[in-house]
Amino acid sequence: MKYFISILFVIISIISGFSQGSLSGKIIDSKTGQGLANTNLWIRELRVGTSSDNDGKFVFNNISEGKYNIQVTFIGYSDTIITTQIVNNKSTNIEIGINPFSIEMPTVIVTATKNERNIKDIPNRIEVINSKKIENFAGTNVDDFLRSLTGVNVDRFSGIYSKSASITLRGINSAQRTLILLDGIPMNKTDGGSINWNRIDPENVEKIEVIKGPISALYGSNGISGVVNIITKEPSLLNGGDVSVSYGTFNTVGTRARYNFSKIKENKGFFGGVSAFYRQGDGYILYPDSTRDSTDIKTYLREGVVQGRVGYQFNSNSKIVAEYGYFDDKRGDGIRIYDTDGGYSKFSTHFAKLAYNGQFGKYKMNIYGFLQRENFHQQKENLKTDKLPPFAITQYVLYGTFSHRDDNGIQMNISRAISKHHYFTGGFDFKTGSVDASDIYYTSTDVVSNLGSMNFYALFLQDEASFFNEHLKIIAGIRTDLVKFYHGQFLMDEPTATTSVLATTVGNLPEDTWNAISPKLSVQYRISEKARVYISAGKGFRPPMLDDLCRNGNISKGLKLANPYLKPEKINSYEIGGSWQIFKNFNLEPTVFYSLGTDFQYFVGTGDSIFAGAKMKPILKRENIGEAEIYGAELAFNWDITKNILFEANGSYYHSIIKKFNVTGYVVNDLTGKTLMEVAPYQANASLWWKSKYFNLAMGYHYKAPQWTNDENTIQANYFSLFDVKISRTFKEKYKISLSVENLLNDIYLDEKGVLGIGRFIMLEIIFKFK
Amino acid sequence: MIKNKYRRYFGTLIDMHILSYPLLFLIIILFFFSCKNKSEEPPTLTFNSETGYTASDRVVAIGLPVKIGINGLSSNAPITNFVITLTTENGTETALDSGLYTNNLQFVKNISYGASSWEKWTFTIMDKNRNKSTKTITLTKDTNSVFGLINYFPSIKLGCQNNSTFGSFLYPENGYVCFADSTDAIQNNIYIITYYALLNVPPTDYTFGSPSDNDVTTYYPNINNWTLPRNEVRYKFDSLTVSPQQFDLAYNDSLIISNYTSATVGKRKFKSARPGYVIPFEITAGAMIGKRGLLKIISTSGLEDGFIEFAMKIQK
Repeated sequence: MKYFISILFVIISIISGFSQGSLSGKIIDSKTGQGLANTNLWIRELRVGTSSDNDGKFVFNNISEGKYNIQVTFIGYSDTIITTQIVNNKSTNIEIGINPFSIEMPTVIVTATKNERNIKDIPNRIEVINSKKIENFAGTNVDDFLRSLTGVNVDRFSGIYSKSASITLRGINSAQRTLILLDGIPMNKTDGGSINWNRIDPENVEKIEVIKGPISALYGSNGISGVVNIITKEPSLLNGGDVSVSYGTFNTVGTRARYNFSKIKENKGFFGGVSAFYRQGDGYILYPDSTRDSTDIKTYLREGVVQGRVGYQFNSNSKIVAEYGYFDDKRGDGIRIYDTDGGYSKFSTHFAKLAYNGQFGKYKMNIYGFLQRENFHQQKENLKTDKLPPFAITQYVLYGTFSHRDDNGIQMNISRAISKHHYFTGGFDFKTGSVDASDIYYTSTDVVSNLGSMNFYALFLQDEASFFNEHLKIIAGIRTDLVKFYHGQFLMDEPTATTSVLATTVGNLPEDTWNAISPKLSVQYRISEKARVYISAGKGFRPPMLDDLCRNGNISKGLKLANPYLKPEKINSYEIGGSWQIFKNFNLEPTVFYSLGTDFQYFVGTGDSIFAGAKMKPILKRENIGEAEIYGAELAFNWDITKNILFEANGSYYHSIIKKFNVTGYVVNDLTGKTLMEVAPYQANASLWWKSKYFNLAMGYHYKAPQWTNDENTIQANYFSLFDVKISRTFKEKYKISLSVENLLNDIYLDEKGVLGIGRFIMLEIIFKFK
Repeated sequence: MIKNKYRRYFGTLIDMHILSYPLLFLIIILFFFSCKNKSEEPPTLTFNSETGYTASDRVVAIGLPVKIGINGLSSNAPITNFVITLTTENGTETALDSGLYTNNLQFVKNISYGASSWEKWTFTIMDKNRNKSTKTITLTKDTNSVFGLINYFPSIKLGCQNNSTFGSFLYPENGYVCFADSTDAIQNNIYIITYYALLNVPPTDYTFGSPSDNDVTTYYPNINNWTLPRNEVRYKFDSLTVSPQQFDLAYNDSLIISNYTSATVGKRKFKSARPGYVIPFEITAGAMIGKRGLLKIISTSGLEDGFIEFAMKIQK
């Protein structure tokens, strides 16, 4: 839950009361002094809640002695936490003033140091999306909201009909270089480093914390360009839930249900919740009329997720939570030649987590165990015909990919306050990932398989210290990683000419072990309450992925060959930034950075090509190409124009080139000086939120400059701009209706493969909340 | 005691029961193994036995045309792969390895018996569940049969697209060479065409093609106006094993038909011809359909304005 601690606005008067021990008071608007009815209050330690009456008054009875954090939430106002003490079972009366909601980022985050910290105490570029933004702005997937952040490059060309999305940060291509966490658990698969964004329901997200720059000192591999931590909502403040239905473009229908419960009494007891989501749609045809033929069909979609969480609170400082979820989907790829299902992709994912959070004296400990088991199945059809009449079929290929990917691990961190201004954190991570996959050809006898496993072991330490009355803050961290690759195999059974090009690396692959030490040092000077400046330097580390080590096979760009001799890549990054409240309610955040990647992993063309689908595509291989240089600038500001009108905007510039190209041999062209593909040199965003008495209106604009789509910089994707609008209204705190329009202007683009973007997407949703 | 008690009333039944245990077990086992899952039933493959078709092993003369009709039928998963291979004393060639999607396959394979002592033709169909059915027909050479006569052209020069000295179009029946601008009226006689393939992706160089080659109209646009279907030649593009010396010594078509068999899968162009190559070919469309030959590359010269010099031996 988002916290906005506003001690200045709390007026506390303690009055001796009845011996039973009660906590009572009044919730007021801190600016007008008016009492606020139907405000929700929640005592975190006791997991009990109540609502204020028509005058804003509330009461909690039977409260025993102790110190309690009370969370106050009310539509249109910032979530507020105040701390109060119940003494000698006396009654306590307090008055709590809360602020009208601001789109300004919440001040407390977890991801940067693995501890709750005020965002202004972290010497790094950080952006946060809170649940209010997710509820009020247009977007159907979690990554849609990331697009509004500075310089975050989101590639989801077909909207919800895309198999997944790709997120990159800081001018560095490849989604595998951005670490994605779900409540602190890494989601990047060891096989290919990708994420299945579709399995995260945005309605379950409380906030998203994005830390830019290498974060390997805390999180290890994949954290080359930064980290995105998706933090889900805790089981509801009160027993209850909600049900929703939605209907949108392309006959897209969805329904969702959630229920949470709490049986905690006197800091002990069970709590939990379940949620389920289902959506289906007819889709659209991916190709324009000019290139369409009889094999093009609509890209259908069917997906659902069910998950549950149950926990037990031992006392006010410790709890254990178990969680399980299952995601299943099927998405057509828009082509059907002969097979009834045509081409499609399908994920079936089990995910589970067991977490313990506790405090023992001065030590705070978190332990997480997790597993993610993904079964991926894909069917592909492609056809080649003669160019001359009677256009005889010269080749028809139908094959299925069956991939089983496991990622399991355990993480532990312990923190201790050495003093009020000195904090120490340490811990270890262990993770094991594996893949067992096959391409089974139905139109020939070929069966191509790849297997591989990788273990990750890590220890990390972090020291945080403040000096000169918190004006100077230093955070130093270091992490050592050991990664072992083993059981690698690439096998071909009954091969024919169809897969002969893949027979470059067959059999057992050599094992390998890599280690790295990733330090980071960040220093911040707080000039005043309104201004701060920081400097940060860090090193990132990323080992090769199993897919690059073990698999020869098809990718969207063409065909890739395995490279079992691929080595880890490293990056050194330096950043200077700050924040400045220029005038009341107007905040400015500039950042400049420089990064140098070494042994940079990159797809390069081998000079050969192959028929794949209806056209020739290049044969590629991932190599350690040498050095990549990335530098850039980011600027963001937010402005609360009035109490009800909030505006924010940001822009970024990235210069990302291959500085040194060391690959020789089969490669045709030297890529020195080429721009990294799939990096947008310029991006800009703007959003406006208007809260009126009758409705909420949110608008967002996003622009992305053209980016190169191949290593030789000869094919460029068009620029990309989106204008989204969402209008919503809540009735009696129970019913909410919203209408969102993504891509209001219906700007339809063609990507480098000649595929149409999704265009305008309209969604109507009705939500009913119950207790 | 209990047994005796029950035996008094149910003796016969008990005896039967004791005896039936193994029988029952056997029946269950047989049932289990005989009742296959529908998805495990392979498709059925049969040969057409109508007049004119060969449906079983037989003795044939060299060059004798043999027609085999293949019928494949699947009641559940469609047939997705069809493979034809030819095995002789020289090894195995794959004549066809094709992807398809049908529950009812009907295919005719036309064979011209080659130079081997025997030819074993194997036909395999596989459905989407990867269940297969295979059948073979073995042809044995009639020992009284003889090889056919050939025409020999010791030196032919075909120019590339910008060559103004040597024409690029060849009539292999008589070795007649002509330029593009004089071929429209005699298009039915043109089979072999040469060009220097700089415009191809990826670019190659000295190329043999034919009127049905997908890229030939890039270099000779007049062919776009020719009547369809156009003449076609297919060239063996790999496993070139004939030496120039063997080519020189060939006096009948034995070398030709042993190097371009009924199983050979040729392409409509041969890229990057080099001196010393001996390239088997077959005419696959046009009045000369079925004629096979060999091209021995003697020399190449120039670029788009260059030429290819070669010798040709072709069945009469």
